[in-house]
Amino acid sequence: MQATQPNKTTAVKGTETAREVRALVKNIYKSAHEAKDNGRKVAYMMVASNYDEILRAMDIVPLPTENYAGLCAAKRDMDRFLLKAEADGYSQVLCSYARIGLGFDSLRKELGRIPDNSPDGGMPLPDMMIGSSAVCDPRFKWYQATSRYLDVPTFAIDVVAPPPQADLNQVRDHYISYQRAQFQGLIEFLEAQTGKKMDKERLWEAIRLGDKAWQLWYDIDRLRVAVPSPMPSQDHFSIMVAGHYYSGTQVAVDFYQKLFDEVKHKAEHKIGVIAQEKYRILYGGGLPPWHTLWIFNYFESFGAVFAIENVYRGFDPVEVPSHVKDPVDYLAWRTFLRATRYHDQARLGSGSPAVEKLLGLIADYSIDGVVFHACRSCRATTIGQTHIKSELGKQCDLPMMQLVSDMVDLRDYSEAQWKAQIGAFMEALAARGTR
Amino acid sequence: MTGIHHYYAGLDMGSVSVKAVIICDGRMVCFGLIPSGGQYKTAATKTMEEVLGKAAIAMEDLSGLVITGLGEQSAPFEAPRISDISCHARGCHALFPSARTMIDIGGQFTKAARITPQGTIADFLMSEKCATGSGRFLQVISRILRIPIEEIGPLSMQSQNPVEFSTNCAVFAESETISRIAEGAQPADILAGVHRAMAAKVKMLAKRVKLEPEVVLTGGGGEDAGLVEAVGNALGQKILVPETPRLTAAYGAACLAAAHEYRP
Repeated sequence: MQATQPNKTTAVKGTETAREVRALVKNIYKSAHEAKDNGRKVAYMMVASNYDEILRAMDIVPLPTENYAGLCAAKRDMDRFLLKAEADGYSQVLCSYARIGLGFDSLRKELGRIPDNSPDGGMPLPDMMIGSSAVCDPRFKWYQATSRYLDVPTFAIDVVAPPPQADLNQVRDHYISYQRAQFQGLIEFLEAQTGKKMDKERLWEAIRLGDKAWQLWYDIDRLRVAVPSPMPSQDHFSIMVAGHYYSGTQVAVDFYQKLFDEVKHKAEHKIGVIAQEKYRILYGGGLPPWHTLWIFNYFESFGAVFAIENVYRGFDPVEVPSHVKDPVDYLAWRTFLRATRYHDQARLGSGSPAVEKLLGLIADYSIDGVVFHACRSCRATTIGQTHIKSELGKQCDLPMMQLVSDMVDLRDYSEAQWKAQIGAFMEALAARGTR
Repeated sequence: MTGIHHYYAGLDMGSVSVKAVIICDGRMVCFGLIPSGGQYKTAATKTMEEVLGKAAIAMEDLSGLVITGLGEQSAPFEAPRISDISCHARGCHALFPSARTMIDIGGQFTKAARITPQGTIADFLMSEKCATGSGRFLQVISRILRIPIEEIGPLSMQSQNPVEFSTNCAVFAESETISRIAEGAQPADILAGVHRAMAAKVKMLAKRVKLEPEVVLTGGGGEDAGLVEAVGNALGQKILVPETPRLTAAYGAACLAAAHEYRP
């Protein structure tokens, strides 16, 4: 069994391609600094907001502040930013991604420069901030709060999804029309900031690249049904960088093509993540513990591999009707279809799209047990998790475990407690027999 | 060591105390219990020396040893480590074969587990990092009220008017207790209030593992009759309590050692 790793936070990867992600992460911040030096516009942005291609088409360099929080946690350099935000009055129950971002910007304002030794050189001052209501409320409000420290324009886009019970035929037009108006509003904001008009051909090109990358990502995940597992969840939490932070670029397409080739080779040749795969685990939900990603390797020391996960995944591919000829219409349609992908299934089954998705993953990926991560400061992925676990338990008889900490705030983490829980969970799996 | 008897030991490296149990033919021969303090290794060595002395055997005479508990990595013995939840479950199963739910109120955490008819874990939960619901909560209150921890149970059962705690945090409970004392609340009522608050936490865990009768309460919390009563009331269940609840995990570890012949 692996001993405590006080200095190492990252996990040993299962694929070679995943090891190239660190360079992609460094490049995010390097590119943003270079863009500022060259007079290009840089925007703070939120991932999975469905607007990535618009930024790319407008030649805006995205600066994902949530990713920066995760990076700080992986480097175990988050406390100074968290404590600064808390000293400024932000509650410890506020999203810790947001607290790190707010603390970083507060500290930079106070010092008049990027805080010394900030991970990957820190984030340069953005020219604008683009929030989003997709996923959770702090992502909509965070940049408004950041205006305390930065005097730059802010725009927050609403990204909507109907409830699972809705009659999609009845609400579709309304939702798509509303979403289109939101994207159009963002485009007009960006046109005002950049002084140039949106080039729709460039937007189509970014969409084409975005869809291609995400299709490849989906295909990679489908290869992961193979036994033994050719790519574990700790790799997913690295390789998602291409899909979420390079969406709409050739970089993401090339990266996923390379990863696809590697995973396909491993699946075809039965090259598993570990020598003896005894158990296949589903990471059922909750943001990953960026501060302690090596915990995935700790599971592996028991013969357990995280075969698939249900967070930060790419959206499943959707088919936008061929009559949609305008790229902004396309984005609105795509957003709606992505958000409602499991709605029909949910109505026919458990009533919960999340439960339906998990049941599908359990069946497809030959899952033996499910692990959830309840993050104390992430309401979006934690509220409802216990209910989902309970509903799942009604439909499948698998050992399940909920670990509790936070995605970046180490103060909510207890290694001794986690190891005790993991030990008991592995014993529960073992009691059912190996595969 | 005499005849063909086989001795097996379980060592529970708990946060408050280190416990060791030796069994022979499925029955407990003797046990040792020493406060963990800050020296897990020393406490483990002393506890094992104590039980081996009581059983009049040497370490080499053991046919099996299993180590468990929060400090299991600190035990200076080569032996399999098994989680304390599994050991508690196994101990409960050995003592009460009809038990299907186990609640362990330990010094650091509270755990609830649903037990299979074979004595393995079907589902389990641990309390969060917060100390509420654990023995630590009682220790805090005991210190403030200057009442020895072993007197808490009987005294709380004299309460006529349990205090309602407005917090579920052990840290805030300390200041709230002081406020209640200043307001004139009786120690018995404060203790009964603490028990109710802890029982509410236990209920939450037990419900989430889908409690099934019969229910066994283990750990140091099982030695507090007032807490046992409060948990029983909260769950609406009769609560079974081992004779020495704090030894359940060590006993279960010894049973697992016997079942699998884990040699030290």
